[in-house]
Amino acid sequence: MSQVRKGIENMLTKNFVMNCAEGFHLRPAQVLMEKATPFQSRIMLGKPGQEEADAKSILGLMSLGIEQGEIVEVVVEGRDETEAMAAVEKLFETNFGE
Amino acid sequence: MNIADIMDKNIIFLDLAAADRDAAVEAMIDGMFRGGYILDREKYLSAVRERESKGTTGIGFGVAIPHGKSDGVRKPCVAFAKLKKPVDWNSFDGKKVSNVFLIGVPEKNAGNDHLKILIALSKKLMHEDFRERLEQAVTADDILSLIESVEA
Repeated sequence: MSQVRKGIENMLTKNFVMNCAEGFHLRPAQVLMEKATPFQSRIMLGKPGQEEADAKSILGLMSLGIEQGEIVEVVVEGRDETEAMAAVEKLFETNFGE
Repeated sequence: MNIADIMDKNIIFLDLAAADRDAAVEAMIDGMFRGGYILDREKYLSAVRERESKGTTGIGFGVAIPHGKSDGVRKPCVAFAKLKKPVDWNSFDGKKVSNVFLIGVPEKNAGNDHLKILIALSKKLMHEDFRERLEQAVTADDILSLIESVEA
């Protein structure tokens, strides 16, 4: 299976700035988890070079301790990675609906 | 900050009887008020309710972390309740809640205590071992010693 999938997926990486007033608190984490869950791709977030968390885990996201103004590195890998990255990008652009 | 420093036996409620989410939160706030952690019961209650109306704080695994920033709160504190009967909390995983951490932070809070507390709790709750020990905790001392391992 992994051989079949090889070649159609690579890996997307982008950096975003967290602009939510209180950083990655429960609300943005919830919004992201809900958005990320339907995608097949693995979506990982973290401060660059530091511990990362699965976008589908609220507790994981909150434990990152990302504060307002900090850079967040997003790595997406999977069949629908382009769509998944676009969805994540939109959330950062719209401040997670805050 | 260690969360154990802002918790206290007085605001750990075991076997709390509550019919639903609102009743659980109210009973906890009553206890926090009696313990002197809350100045204005109504103000804090409405802050917690308002937050809850924006989206559930039921983070799954039978745990909820309701919270409110309000000048009805004297100083940062975390109350804990183990409910006699699990109640519906619209949790992300659909599970009913039996363990509640209620966070109170004054409106004019210089540091980012509110977030620090959430982060510290999340870090622990991520671990299955912590959740199991929380589930099994029987006394206030069990809870406090478990919480003492939560640092932020």
